[in-house]
Amino acid sequence: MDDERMIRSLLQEAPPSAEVVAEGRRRLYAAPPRRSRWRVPGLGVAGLGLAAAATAAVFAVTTSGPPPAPVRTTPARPMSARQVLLAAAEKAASEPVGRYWHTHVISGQAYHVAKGDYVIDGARHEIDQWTARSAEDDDVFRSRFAGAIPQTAADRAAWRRAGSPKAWRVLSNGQYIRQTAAAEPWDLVRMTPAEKRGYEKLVARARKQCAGHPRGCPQQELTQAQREALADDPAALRQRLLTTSGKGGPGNVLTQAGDFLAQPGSPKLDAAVFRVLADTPGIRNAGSVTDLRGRAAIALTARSSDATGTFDTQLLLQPGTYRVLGTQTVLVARGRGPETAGMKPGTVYAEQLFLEMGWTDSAPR
Amino acid sequence: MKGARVAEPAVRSPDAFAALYDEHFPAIYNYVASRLGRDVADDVAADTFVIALRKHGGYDPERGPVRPWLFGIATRLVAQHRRQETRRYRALARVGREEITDSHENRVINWVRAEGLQPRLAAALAALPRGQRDVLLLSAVAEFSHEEIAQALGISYGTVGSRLSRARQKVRSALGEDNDG
Repeated sequence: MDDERMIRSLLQEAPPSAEVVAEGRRRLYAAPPRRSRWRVPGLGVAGLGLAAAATAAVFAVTTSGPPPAPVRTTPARPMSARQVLLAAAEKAASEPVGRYWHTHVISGQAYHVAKGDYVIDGARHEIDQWTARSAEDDDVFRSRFAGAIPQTAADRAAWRRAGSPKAWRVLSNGQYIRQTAAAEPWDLVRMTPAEKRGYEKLVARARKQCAGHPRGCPQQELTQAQREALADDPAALRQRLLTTSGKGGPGNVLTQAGDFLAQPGSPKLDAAVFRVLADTPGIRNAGSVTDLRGRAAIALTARSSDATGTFDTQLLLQPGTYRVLGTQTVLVARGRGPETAGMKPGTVYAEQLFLEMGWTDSAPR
Repeated sequence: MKGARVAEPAVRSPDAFAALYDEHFPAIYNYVASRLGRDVADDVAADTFVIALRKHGGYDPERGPVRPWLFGIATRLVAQHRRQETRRYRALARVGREEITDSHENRVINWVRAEGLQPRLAAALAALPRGQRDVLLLSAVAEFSHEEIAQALGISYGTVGSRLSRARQKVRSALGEDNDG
């Protein structure tokens, strides 16, 4: 018998809760380091707290007489990222398919306004589109620039103190650009079955021409059939999510997965994407957050750092249904450079929020 | 081992250390919780990284691989809670897992308990000298190699081997006694 396996099994405890992980990380950068509440008396450590004394009392009871009822104050632990993702895979697999794949997404980016010191959510582009499953139905594509808005309630208050301006000069890639609060009118594009066939022919011809000359040709998107084939090939699906994500890393995989899930696909394919994420290391459940639309979301999170700062990339899922609410990148700590100048930790640096994502049987006429 | 060292990145900036934290915290937590229980592990696992960052100025590849370094710090912190550790093993020996496990949905299916072996095993762990227990649990819980244990505890490879075989012998004989009786 394997005695080491027995010992491991005997002593095994549940993994740390998201709160414990977050608290430990917070303590790393909290100064000065907080004294442990659990020092054993007699080691000369000042600041033995009441908690330690209380615990000692509890265990003093334990050592004499029968064991008391367990003393527990820990609330129910949230699910791990893996548990969330496996649940999401299960839900996705049972989603009914409809006539159109409908997505309505608003993407935006944070800009710091120096005059008044607040953050606006700018470059807000809104796309509302219906992609027909059948080649014999129209595709509909509506889009507009939605106008910039102050990001949080605190930003809104600072914006009002600054005189509620309707336009801003903000830094973008080292240059000043103008952002305005005014929304553009919607632009509507409709593709008829004939136009769709014409487009397919164009793409096919381009593929043929590119076949011999890979350089100078744009990277080809997967066809619907190629995408669906990935549902049965987790290794290839993982590879796809990694290779399309540039530098790689779990943060990029989360964003890629969000984009991938926003494309029309079978429930089976969506479930496969969630399962690949469940097996991707470095993703944790950061618990419940509120997105910029005020919606509660489970935030599956991966942290990454570069010269511009430390960021949490998050895939936002609706609690209970595990539908994709969007992806966002949250500033954790500023680095060098003008990109994050003036922004506080917690600022949503960039986001892509889905107001709608799923199959439907109707599209605008 | 040399190759592994070269591959380790220098982790001196706070951002890189946060990544190191994210990668290693769950394993450190599991190790500490196995020895001291979850409540104490919350603090001790967090302290491990605070000490690694503050006292040692972050990770330096010159020290050797990062994992043994972190588990070495955690093991020294566990040593400050020896009474708590012994209490945990005694409690495991006396009441079995059911009573000291807090959460049903998170409980790991435990065949040791199912076979009624846990009192003997826990009592044997409680009775081990600290040096042998450190080696045995780094091997059993953290699943360290001899080499990694030697690095973590700053002892020789040979010492790891002798402590481990003695500790295992004691555990086996404790289990064997009870099987006879």
